[in-house]
Amino acid sequence: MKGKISFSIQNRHIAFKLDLERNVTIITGDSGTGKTKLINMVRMYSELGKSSGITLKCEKPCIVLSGSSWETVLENTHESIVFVEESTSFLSSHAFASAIQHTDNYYVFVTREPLPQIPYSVDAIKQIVKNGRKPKTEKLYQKISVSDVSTFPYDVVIVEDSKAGFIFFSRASEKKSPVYFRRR
Amino acid sequence: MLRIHFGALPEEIYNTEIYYENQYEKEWVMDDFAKKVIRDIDASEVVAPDVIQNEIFGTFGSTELSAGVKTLLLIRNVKNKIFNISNCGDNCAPYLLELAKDRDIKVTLHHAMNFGSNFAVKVINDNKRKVITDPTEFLLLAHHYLRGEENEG
Repeated sequence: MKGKISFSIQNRHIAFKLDLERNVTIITGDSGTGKTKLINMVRMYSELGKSSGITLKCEKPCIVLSGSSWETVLENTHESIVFVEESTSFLSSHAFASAIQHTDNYYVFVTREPLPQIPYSVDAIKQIVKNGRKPKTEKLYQKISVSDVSTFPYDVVIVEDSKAGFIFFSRASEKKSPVYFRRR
Repeated sequence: MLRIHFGALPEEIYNTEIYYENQYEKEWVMDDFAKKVIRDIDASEVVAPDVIQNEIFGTFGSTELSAGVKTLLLIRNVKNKIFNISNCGDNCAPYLLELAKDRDIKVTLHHAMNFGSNFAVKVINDNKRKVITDPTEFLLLAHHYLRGEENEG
C-alpha cells in the first residue's frame, strides 16, 4: 500500500480524524486524550459494522490486532489499516517487527514505548490532543526552521553521534554554550 | 521514592487496564486523590462509587477511565504489585511522584517519561540505587536501558 490514506471514526459523542501517510504511524501522548477510545471504536466497528453505532470512513478495512493468535490474523490481513493498542505485549517483540516487514498493510501503533525493531519516521509520531468532542491529531515533533536555529531557544541538545548533527548544532548554538551528550 | 526499573520484570503487571478491570474496588474512586486525578487527567467528576461523569460521555463506570488514571489508582490501592507506568502519560508524572512521597513504590517503565525539571526518582536497574534529579541524565539512562538490542520491551 502506498500514499496518503484518510481515516475518520465517530459516534454520537466523539470524532477522530487521522491522515496516514506512511506504513507505520505511532500515536502517543498524555493520558485521557482518547487513545483507548479510538482503538475501542475501531474494534467495535470491525466486529459489528454500522450496527455498532459508529461511523468509520476509510478506503481500507480497519482492524485491531490483539491476542495470542495475532500471527495467524496478520497472515490473513492484506491492504488494511492495522491498529495495535498500548500494552499489547507482542508490539515490542522482534517476532512482530519481522512479521510486518513485507506486508501490504498500514499500521497504527498506540504506544509510548520506543520500537527500535521497527523502522518509522519521526514525522509519523503523532499525539492526540484534547479538543472537546473532536480531539486533534498532530505531529509530536516539529521541524526546526531557519529562525529557530538563529535564535536557538534550547538549553540541551542530544545528538546521535559526533558527525554531521553534532557539527551542525555546535555551529547553530555558538552563542549559547549548550551542553552536548553524544553517543560514542 | 519512586523506584523505577527500565524495561520488563517477570513479576510486573504490564497491562494495567486488564488488571484494573478484574481487580478494582468501587470505593477506590471516592478518596480525594482519586477525585483529583480523575478531574485533572480525565476531565471527569466522581459522583458515587464507580459512577463518574463527563460532559462528553455522560455517566460511566471506572473501567472506562483512562489507562493512566487506572494505573494511578492501582498503585495507590494495591501496594504489593509492580505496575508498568508506561500506561501513564506525562500528565500522570506529578501524581506518581506524589504517591511516592510517603512510601517506596517500585514500578517498571518502558519509555522515557517526562517528570519535569523538579523531581527525584531512583533508577534501580543493575541493582543500582541511584537517585536521579536531572532530566537529561534520566533520559540517557532510559535510552541506555530501553534501546539495547536484547531488549524486547
